[in-house]
Amino acid sequence: MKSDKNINDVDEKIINAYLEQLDVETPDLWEQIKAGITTYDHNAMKPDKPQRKIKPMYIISVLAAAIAVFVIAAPILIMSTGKLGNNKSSDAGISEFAIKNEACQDEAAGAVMDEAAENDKAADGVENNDMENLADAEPQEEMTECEEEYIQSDVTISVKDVNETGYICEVLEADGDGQIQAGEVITVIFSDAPVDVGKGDKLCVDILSYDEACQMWMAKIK
Amino acid sequence: MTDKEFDVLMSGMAEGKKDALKEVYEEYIKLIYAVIYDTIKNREEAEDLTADFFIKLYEISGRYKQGCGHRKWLVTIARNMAIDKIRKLDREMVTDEMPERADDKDNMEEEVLLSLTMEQAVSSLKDDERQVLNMKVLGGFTFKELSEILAKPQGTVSWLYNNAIKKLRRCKL
Repeated sequence: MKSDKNINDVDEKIINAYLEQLDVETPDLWEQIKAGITTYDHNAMKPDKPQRKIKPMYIISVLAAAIAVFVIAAPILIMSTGKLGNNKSSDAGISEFAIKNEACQDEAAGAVMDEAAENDKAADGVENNDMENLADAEPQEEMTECEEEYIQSDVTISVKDVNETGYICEVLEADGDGQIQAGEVITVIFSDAPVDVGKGDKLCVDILSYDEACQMWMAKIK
Repeated sequence: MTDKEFDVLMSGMAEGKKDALKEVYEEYIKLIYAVIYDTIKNREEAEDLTADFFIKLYEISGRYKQGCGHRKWLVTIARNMAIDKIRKLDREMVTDEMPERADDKDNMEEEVLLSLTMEQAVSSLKDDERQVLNMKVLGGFTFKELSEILAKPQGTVSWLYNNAIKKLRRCKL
């Protein structure tokens, strides 16, 4: 309290002179401060500037994903288009696909069925496959294997030889876009067994499937 | 400036009003500069740090808790910034800085002539005397507040202040 009283006793002139001295000594820093706060903006903390930075990244990632999908899907699409182009009857699309399934299932036994029976079974096969797809992934692989087999219509062949495995035939005419080309020698077994085919016969057939293990084609005489 | 007035200005700063900062700056530049200079004892560093102080004040204005003795709050922040700076620079405080101050003002012709004697009186002040005097005169703190801010006994603060006044009385006006 005593000290506080002393403050009042101090000559005002001295204090004022001291304050003037401080005025001289105190620098003007406002411009420096102004420049400093210009770079800091309270509102800059809120707006969507970061979103602008994220957006190009998002676009790039989406584009990359789209390109990756295209690279993977394009060959599959091209292949499937080629296959469909060889199918003359569009109605037969599903049934022939099913026939292939059947052929896969029956090729070991060499069972031969008529077309109607095959179609019936085909429908069952498709349904079964659908169910199996839902159940697990393994049947899907089987489907893929069968899908990869090739079908080619209107192939003219000449039987060169007959042996235990099948008929050795020379391809005389075939669709240029197909897998089997004219001039090739292929081994064929016929789905229409028993058939009366002998050495030197010329036939027009539809190629149903290919057995990789036996390296022979399943054909149907037209 | 009252606490209420200061609160209003801080709210203004939080909304991005630079004029509000300018008002606070004009009111407290002498006090803050004196507090920082008396702690750091280097003119250039004190100037930079004072500018940094007001920029920081603007930045933290949104987080300021109103009605809690703004002058003490300001001075405490300023002192802490200065102490941090000293630690950063890792150097000892220069004790004999006053002649350098006089040299700096060689070009301030008229003011120097008028304030020369006061300048000499000021140069005779010890660091802690000058610190207490500045905070008392510029900040209007009581001795109790000064003892809290400077972490010194109230009697010591009072004694330092009286010593400073005695030295200033010797100058010719």
